[in-house]
Amino acid sequence: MSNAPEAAPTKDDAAAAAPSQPCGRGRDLNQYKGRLKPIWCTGCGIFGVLNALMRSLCELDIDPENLAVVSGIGCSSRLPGFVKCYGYHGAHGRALPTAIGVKLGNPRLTVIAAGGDGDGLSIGIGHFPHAARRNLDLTYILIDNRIYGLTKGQTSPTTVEGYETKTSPTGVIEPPLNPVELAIVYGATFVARGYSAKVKDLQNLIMEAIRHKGFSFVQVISPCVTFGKGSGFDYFGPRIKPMPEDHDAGDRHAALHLVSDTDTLLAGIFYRQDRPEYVARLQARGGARGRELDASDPKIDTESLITRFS
Amino acid sequence: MDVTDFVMGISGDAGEGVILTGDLITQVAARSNLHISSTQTFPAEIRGGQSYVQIRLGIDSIFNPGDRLDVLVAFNRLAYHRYKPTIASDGILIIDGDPETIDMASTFGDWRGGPIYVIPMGEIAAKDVGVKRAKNMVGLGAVTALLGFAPEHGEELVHRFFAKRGEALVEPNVAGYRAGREYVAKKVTKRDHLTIPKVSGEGYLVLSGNDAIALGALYAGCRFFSGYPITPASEIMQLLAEELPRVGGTMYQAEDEIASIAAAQGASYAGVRAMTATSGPGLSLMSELLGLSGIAEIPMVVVDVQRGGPSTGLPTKTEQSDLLSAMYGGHGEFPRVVMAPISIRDCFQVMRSAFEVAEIYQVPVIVLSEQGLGHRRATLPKALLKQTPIEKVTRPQRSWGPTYNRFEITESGISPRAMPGDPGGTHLITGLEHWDFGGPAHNLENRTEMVQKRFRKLRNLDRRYGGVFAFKGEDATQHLHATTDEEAGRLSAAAESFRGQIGVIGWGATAGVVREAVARAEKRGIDTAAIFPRMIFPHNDLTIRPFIQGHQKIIVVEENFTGQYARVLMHYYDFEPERLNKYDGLPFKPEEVLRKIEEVASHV
Ligand SMILES: Cc1ncc(C[n+]2csc(CCOP(=O)(O)OP(=O)(O)O)c2C)c(N)n1
Ligand code: SF4
Repeated sequence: MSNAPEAAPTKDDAAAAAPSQPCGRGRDLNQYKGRLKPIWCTGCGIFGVLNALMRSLCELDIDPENLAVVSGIGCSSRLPGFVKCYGYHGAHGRALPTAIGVKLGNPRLTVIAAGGDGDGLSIGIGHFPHAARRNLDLTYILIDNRIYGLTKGQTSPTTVEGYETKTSPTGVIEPPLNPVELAIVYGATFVARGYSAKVKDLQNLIMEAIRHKGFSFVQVISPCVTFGKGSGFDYFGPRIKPMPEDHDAGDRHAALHLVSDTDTLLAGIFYRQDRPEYVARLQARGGARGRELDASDPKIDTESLITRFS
Repeated sequence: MDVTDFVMGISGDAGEGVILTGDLITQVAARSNLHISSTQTFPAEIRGGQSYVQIRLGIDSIFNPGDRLDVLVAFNRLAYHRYKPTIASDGILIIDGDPETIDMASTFGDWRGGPIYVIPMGEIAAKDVGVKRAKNMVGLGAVTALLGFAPEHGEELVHRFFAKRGEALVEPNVAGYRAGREYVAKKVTKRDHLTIPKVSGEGYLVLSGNDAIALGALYAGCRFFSGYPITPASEIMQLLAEELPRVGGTMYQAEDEIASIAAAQGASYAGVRAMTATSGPGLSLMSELLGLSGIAEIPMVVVDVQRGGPSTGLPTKTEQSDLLSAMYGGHGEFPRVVMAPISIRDCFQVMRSAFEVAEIYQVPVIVLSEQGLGHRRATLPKALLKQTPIEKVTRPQRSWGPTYNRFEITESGISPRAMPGDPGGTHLITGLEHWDFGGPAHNLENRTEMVQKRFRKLRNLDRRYGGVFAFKGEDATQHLHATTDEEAGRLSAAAESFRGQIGVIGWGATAGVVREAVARAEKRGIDTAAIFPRMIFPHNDLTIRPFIQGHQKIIVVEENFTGQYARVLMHYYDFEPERLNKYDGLPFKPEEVLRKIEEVASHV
């Protein structure tokens, strides 16, 4: 029993209530529904991200109990509560270092970090290059609405020049960051962009990202229908274009060239690279066993410590 | 004559290898079954300035590096001038120079100590060994020979140290050490009484406070450390960087302190005992996430090796000025525990309590050490590291039912904790106020209940973690950390029963000095006792109240300006303690505390 009066459903209730939606290898999409119902504004882009993520998890046959979804603070960062998983809604900007800790604490988990453009590119941007270059096997979904949604409409680091917000009433005067470009430059080994209105495509990208052995980054263009006036689905729809079929994702220069065009927003995989994964490298040196440690694992060599300190 | 307790100071240019010489002397002493306590100061700048090591040696356990010098080793004249005022009346001087040509009268006209030995350390290194930089090893040889240490320990240790740095370095440095010993054997006539006693035994460990914290964590089952380099805490992460991977653990050097605590929380959430260590500036950065540990009930151990603050302050000096920020820092209210180890041995032991409390009560635990403890070294029995480490470092998987609620409201305040990977245990944790199942909640009754639930954990904190260290009588016998409820009760009861003239209360690293001051005061007929709570927060009223009531005057000793712990005590009790504060960056000396005790005693 819960102390929540408005009948917070137990985990089984949640699944039982909804009509079945078979997916994956004999699974049901409802198995991935969290105990909470999304609280986003009607029509918000994040619904599409949630939908694509749940379908990806289902298709990939990932057990909710071996899944950790870690986020920061923001509308987008509410995501972990709506997915059945070990959810971690932490501090503003800190999703990445937290996710890294979770992965190192239990390398067998599938770990997904998610959050907004403010969360990941403003307060938390110091963590982004380091997560990317270290190349731990986790997936970072940056839900980019080009605005601060939760705090009701201030300028974000991806708000474009000239755009009027509550904190830039006469229009933004600084150029925005380009998340995909940054991810490539920082050393992410899988970099993609998706659009929350194209759920099927987004699902494919997220599945590829999760399958990728290393740090995978997916920027999702996801309109804020409440505060993103003039940059809603109408604005993005015509600008989102599929990745040219001949793009070689192994070609870093080509990827950087494509992403430098900020008028058309290409959706697809910009870049991917095979590079040794961080946890595997630590494990090769004996470390990073995480929660798999048990009584049969290496013991402290007390004798060698005594020699060392005497 | 054998001497059972003496103090040696070694000083020279920062580039002259003073610290290494000191380290090696402490190790030689430990192998010779002598106890030591040593401390070092080095200039904040990377190069230039004078370095200084002070080592106290003796037969019995030593709790502080002492005050007056019985031996001053000076690698140059400047060092001599700087430290000559601290010499004891019959203290000896060992100094680099040319005994043939030096004009003793004019050079040492202002010397107030005993015999002087001028030894051409630099010249022997340059001419006989052919490597100028080996001067400190010549010094090491000369000093150990003069004091009567057997030659083999020193030689072995010099060999071991340089072998790690490169084979080519071994030969000249060992040669320097031998040349120093030989010079003393052939050319020096001993004119003093300082000869170390012959003691048998298996030798001792030499640990710094930072070593002890790292090893204590390792033995307490910590398998994840994340941190960001900062003086004077970095040695903890450096040691764990070597040791954790050996036992399947992880040392993660994060990009800053916020990432450090975030990663440690992530690992802890995932089911591994995790910690971070930092100094004041890092603790400030971590404060937001400490609160997350509080509300989301993520076990967490944070070590703060305090240094002079605020801002960058005095990075290489000691201070006890983060107490209030450890107790109250961060926004909002949440349960937390603050512990302060009182000695190097206790640095090791406190970590076990810290991890236990963090894990059982699901709270952040802050361990307050300080530069003066972290960089101090002491000998400890080898048995310390022979004890059995915590072996079951992770919890096996467990299944949970469909009605599992992570933050279930319970009488103890402690809720069942599922970990990622556990079947049936999926849930949300959040820094928002939440329902028992984890979902965000603004409901007023729930808020009230949840705050109370979290704070109930402190109310039910096992009394055994609240033991105190108490000192009374000429030998200032100490009560160690209790391991059972009854023992804690007994120890605290002993402290409660103390009645007398002067009661000293302190916390953390000043215990070693206060203990000696209490013993000296007692010898001078002043009825004195001291207590040091190991767990500072929550407050141990049961023991501290009777102690305060049982003494005519209370002195609160602290290395800070504002008297942070005195203020805490004044908040609990209606009284006005005497205060002894020091904030120049150096630890107290026993004399300073003794003087205060005498001064206060003369007024009661
Ligand atoms: C340390 C801190 N500063 C500020 C805030 C307030 N805050 C919450 S969310 C947010 C930004 C939200 O924007 P974004 O990350 O883009 O997410 P969105 O809501 O747009 O999905 C801010 C500034 C906070 N929670 N913590
Ligand atoms: S404010 Fe914007 S981003 Fe937030 S839920 Fe509403 S539409 Fe979505």
